[in-house]
Amino acid sequence: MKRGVVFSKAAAAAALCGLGMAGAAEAAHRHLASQAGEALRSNQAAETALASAIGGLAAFGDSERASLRARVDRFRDGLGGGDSWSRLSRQFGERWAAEARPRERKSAYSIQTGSFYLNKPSLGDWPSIVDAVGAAEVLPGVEILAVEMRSSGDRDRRSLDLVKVAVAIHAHLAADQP
Amino acid sequence: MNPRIAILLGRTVWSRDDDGWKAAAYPSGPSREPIARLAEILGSGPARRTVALFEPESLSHQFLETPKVDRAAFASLARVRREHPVVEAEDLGWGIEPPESTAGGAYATLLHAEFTPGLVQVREACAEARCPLVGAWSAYTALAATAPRRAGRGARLALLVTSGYAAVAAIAGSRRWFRSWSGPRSERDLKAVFAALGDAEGTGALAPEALSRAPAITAVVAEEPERMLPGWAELRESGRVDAVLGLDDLAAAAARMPARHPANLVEAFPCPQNLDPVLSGVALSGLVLSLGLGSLIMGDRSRLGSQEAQHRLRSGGLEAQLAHLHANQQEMLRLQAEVPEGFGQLPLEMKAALIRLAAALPDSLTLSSFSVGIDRTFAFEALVVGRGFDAQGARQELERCGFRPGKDQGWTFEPSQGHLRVQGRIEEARP
Repeated sequence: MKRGVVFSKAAAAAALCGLGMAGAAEAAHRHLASQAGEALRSNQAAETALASAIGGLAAFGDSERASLRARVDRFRDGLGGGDSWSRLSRQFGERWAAEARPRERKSAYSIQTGSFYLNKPSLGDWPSIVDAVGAAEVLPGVEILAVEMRSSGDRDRRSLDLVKVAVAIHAHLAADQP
Repeated sequence: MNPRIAILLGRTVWSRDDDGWKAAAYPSGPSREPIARLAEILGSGPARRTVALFEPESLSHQFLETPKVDRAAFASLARVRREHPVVEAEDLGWGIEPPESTAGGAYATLLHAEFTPGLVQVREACAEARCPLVGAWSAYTALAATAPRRAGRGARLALLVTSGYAAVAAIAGSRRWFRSWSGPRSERDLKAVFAALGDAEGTGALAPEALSRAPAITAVVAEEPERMLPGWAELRESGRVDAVLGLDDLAAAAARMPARHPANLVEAFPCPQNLDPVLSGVALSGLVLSLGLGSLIMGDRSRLGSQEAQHRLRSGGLEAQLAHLHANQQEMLRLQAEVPEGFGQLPLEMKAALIRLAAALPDSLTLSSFSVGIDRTFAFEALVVGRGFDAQGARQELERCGFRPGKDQGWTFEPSQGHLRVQGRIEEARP
C-alpha cells in the first residue's frame, strides 16, 4: 500500500543537476544552431552582394581591358604631330582653301577641326578630289569627317558649286608644348 | 549487500553475530519488549536493508478458501474484508500464501495476520534508523521457502525447534496449517508437537504401516535438538526427517524472498512511494541527454567553424575578383578618357567610299549634291539625264556597293521630274 512519497536529498540533487545539465546543454545546442543559421544567412547575403557587385562590373573584365588597351595603343600610334595641319594643307595643295578652327586640348591629346574648300571646282576635278581625300586620310592623326559636294545647272549644263572636305587632326599633347 | 536479518519466534529474539545466533528470551505476558528488541537489533549498525522473520505470539495463521487472486485482489474481496478486517487495517501486518488448489478443486490460502500492532513499530524504528524493513515473513513462509528445493509433490511437514519455541507447519499438500508452542514446553506440548507430526503416541517412532503414509519432515533446529525435543533421536531414526537445517538456512531463505511475495507482512502498511529510483533515473537520463547534446554541440561547433572557413574562402575569392574588376574599371576609365568617343570602330575609308559611289551610279544619273560623313551616313540628290533609267536596278546596284537607303524617306524618286533623292548608311559592299 503506497501513500505519500519519500526521496533522498542526494537523489533529488542529482536529478536536479541532471535536469539542469540537460537543460543547459539543450539551450546551448539551440543557441548554437540558431547562431549557425544566422551565420549561414548572413554569409549567403554577403556572398550574394559580392556576386551582384561582380556582375555589375562585368563590362570591366580582362578581355575588355585588353581590347581597350589595344584601341588606345592604336589611337596613340595614329596621333599626329604639331605640324599635322600644315602637312595636311600642303597635301591638299594650293587650290584648296583651308579653314582651321582653334585647337582643343583633351586629357591625353589635342584635336583640331577644320575644312578644306576647293576653289573654282569643275566636274573634271573629281578624280583629283578623290585622290586628295585618299592622300589626306592616310596622314597620321588625320580623320576625314565628311565630304560634301553641291552642283547647279540644268540637265545639260552642270557646274560644281562646292566641294568641301571636313577634317579633324588628333595630335600628341607634347606637340602643343612650347 | 545482504540485508540485516533478525528473528522473533514467540517471545525469543534471535540475532546473529560472528559467534553465531544469540537468543534473547522474554517472559510471557503483555510486555512488548521482544518487539522493541527486534526493532533495536534491526535498526542498529550502518544503514542497510533489513528483513525480519516475524513470528510473535500474536500472529495468527488461518486457512481459508479464496479465488486464485493476488494479494491486492484478495484484500478487495468483500467476504474477506468482512470476515478478516485486518486486511483493511493500516497498523496490523498481514500476508497470504499463494493460493493453491485443494482436494475439492477450490483454491485456498493461509492468512497470516497480527492481532495487535507490533510490526508497524519495528518498521517505523527501522525507517528512522535509515534501515528500511523490506520484508517481514512469518515462520510458516520462511519454513515453506526452505522446502521447495527438496520437496516433491504431496504432503510435507516442517518442524521448527528452538529453545522456548516449537512449530509444525504443513507446507505442502491439500490443506496447509501452522501450529506453534511458545515458552517452556510441557509434556502436553511435546505430545501436541508429535501429534502434529502425525505421531499420536508421542514416541517419535511410528508403526511401519503408519510410517509409510506419514509425510516427510524438513526440520529446522537450533542448538541441541535432543535437549529441546525429547524424542528427536527416535524421529531422526524413523527416516521421516529428510533434511535438518539450521537458523542460518531459515534466515537465508527469508532473505531470498522477494519483497513482492504476497506473504510479506510489511506490505500491509501504507508506505511512501520511494522516488529515489525515479530521481536516479532522471539524473541518469539528464546526464545521458547532456552527453548526447554535448556531442551534438561539438558537431555544431565543428560544422559552424567549417562553414565560416568555407565562407571566408569563397568571399575572399569574390572580394579579390571584385578588387580586380575595380582596378580594371579605374584603368579603363582612365584609358577611355585618352581616346575620343567612338574611336576604335572600323574607320570609314572615305576614298574607297567615293569610288564605290561613283561606280554604283548609272550613267543616266548626274549628282546634284552629296555628302558622306564619318558616321557612315550619306545623302545625295541626282537628276536623270539619260534614257532608260532603271530606278529599281539603280537601287540594287547602290545596295550592292554598300549604300543602303534608309527605311523612312531613304529612297525618293520622282519620275516626272527625273529627280532622285537618297539617304542612308554606308555598309560593307557585297561581292
